[in-house]
Amino acid sequence: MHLLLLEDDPTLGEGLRDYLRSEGHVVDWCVRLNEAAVLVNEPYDALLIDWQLPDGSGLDWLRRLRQRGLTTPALMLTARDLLSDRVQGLDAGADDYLVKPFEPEELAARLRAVCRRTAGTGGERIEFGAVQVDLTAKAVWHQQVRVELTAREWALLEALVLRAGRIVSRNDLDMLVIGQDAEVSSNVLEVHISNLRRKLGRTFIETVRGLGYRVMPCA
Amino acid sequence: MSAPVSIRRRMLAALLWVSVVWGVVAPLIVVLTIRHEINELLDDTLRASAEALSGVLKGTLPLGSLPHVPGGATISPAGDYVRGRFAWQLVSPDAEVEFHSPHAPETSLMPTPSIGFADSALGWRVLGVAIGEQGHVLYVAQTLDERTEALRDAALNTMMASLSVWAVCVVGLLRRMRSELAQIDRLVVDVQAHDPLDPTKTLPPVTREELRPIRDAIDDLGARLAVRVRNERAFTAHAAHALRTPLAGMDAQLAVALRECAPEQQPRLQRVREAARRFARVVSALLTLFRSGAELHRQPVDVAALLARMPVAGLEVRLTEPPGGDSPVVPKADPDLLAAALANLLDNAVRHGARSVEVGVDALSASGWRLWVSDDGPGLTTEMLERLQATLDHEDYSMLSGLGLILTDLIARAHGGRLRLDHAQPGGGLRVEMTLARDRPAARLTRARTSPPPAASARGEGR
Repeated sequence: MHLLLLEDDPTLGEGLRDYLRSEGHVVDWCVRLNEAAVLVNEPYDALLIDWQLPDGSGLDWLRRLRQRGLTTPALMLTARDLLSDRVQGLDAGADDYLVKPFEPEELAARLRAVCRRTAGTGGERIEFGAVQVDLTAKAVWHQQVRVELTAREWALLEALVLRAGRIVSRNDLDMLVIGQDAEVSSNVLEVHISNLRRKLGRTFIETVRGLGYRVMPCA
Repeated sequence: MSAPVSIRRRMLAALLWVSVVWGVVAPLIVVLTIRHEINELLDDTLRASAEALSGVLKGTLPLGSLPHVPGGATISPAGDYVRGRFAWQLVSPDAEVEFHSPHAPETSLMPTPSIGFADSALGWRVLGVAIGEQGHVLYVAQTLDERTEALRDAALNTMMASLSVWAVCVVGLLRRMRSELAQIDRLVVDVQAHDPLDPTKTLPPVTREELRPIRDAIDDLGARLAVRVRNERAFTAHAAHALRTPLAGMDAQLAVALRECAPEQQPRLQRVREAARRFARVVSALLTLFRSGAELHRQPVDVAALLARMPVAGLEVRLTEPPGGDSPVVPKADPDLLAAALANLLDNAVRHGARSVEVGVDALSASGWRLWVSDDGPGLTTEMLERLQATLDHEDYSMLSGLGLILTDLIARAHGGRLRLDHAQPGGGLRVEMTLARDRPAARLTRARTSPPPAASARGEGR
């Protein structure tokens, strides 16, 4: 998943960025709202937002994003644990609310759950014809046989599965899978798409000419 | 401290005393007044009768020339309306009755000639009037019974009227008192419903002048309290942020380090991470317990899962299986607070020489749950155990030296329960039992406490 992390504490921000990267996600980490405001228009899979930030309230920023129509799943990461705070956070547009100190394993699990809910795939395994995907276990099967993927391949698959039924542009996939700061060659995406088709069947990923790629869930 | 005096009961007692005094004094005064007035009135009647009769007798009877008739001659005046209540006698100077009315006694009303008013031994009120020049006396009399009857009738009627007025007044006063005291009850209801922290709500105005100072004082107290609570909440929010965020950062960094480090370094890092987690639990519990408006987040807690997440180096932890293969008991509690309590009890056990502990949880019928930790350490003497238990019962935490039992007791109380200490087995060991009430709100999460002098401290946890 491609994640935007907004956290001003350097120890926590760096720790979460590295942990989530080790989980296979692409993480953009900002410490200020004005930095995040520049990046937020990118096609992120989820936003991780701290409430109290040096240049304002993360909650108010999220509220403004929701008013603008942004539907990207958002998790509030905050030290405020009163019931009224939780209600306020969820009412402002957060999809989940995590009180510090939390364990990164729990954050990763909640991220998966939120993204599953947003993608409309509540169950563990998602069916795509002969292909089954388990986002929690990070596992994929083709014709009931477990298939091993590289980290990049898995990131690409996850990005498409979380947007199942929708066309994902090449630029967005580049951003989602490769991230802001990676230096890659221009055809790396095609290489990974080709590898996925080889492992999961040629018809699994559909090319929509001039627009991008798409996977279709079972009816 | 003695129970406060009831205004209602005091006013009722005062009303009762006033009624008793009214019931005794008012009729007495009325009776005495009526008696005086009736006597005066009837004496005037006797006087008028005597004057009229003496005038008649002077003109009609040749006094001293009549033959003596033993017992006197009877003269019946026209109209015997007096019917024995009034009588007259004409008595000679030697107290012989010469003439008398039909109902008058045949002997003289007075043993010796008496002029003026007097009470006769025969039961008459007598007025003696000198008549003629030969020493005759005209006695005009009225029976004392008649007077008493008149007095009784007047007094009775007056008393009945007085009692009626009294009864009406008492009922009216009681109703008034009830309605006035109901204003206090109304103020109490308003105060109970009042939330000083809610700026949209104000204490409604009172309808009695005397209650206004109380209402204003409560309003002022609420306003001051609201300021303090808001300040405290702001401080706690900042303190929570300052404490919780670095803890989360430490855990995230350790989680990454555990993934990246060499396998031989992992146990050491894992121990550091566990210690950081225990510290985080304590900080979270303290922030929750010592904060105004903090609430419990009760939910079913899997104690086995909780224990699995808090290994303590050098301590074997066994969870007692439910008897008969029943499904494990799942208490409904705040998981963070319960984890902090268990972590403290386990740390306490290992710090005081225990090598293994047994943890159990069972349901206490409808009242809640009991969670206990029993260790194999040296335990406490019975005397120390009793002293420590008394310390916990009185919430006098200045007697304890460490945080573990204090925090655990506060967590039990926050769940509406208590902490009980006992010997784990006859040879030693400590059993700490924590009760958790079912869905009952905590009496309070924070409390003000006055501490006795440090010299009185007993190092309860330094066993």
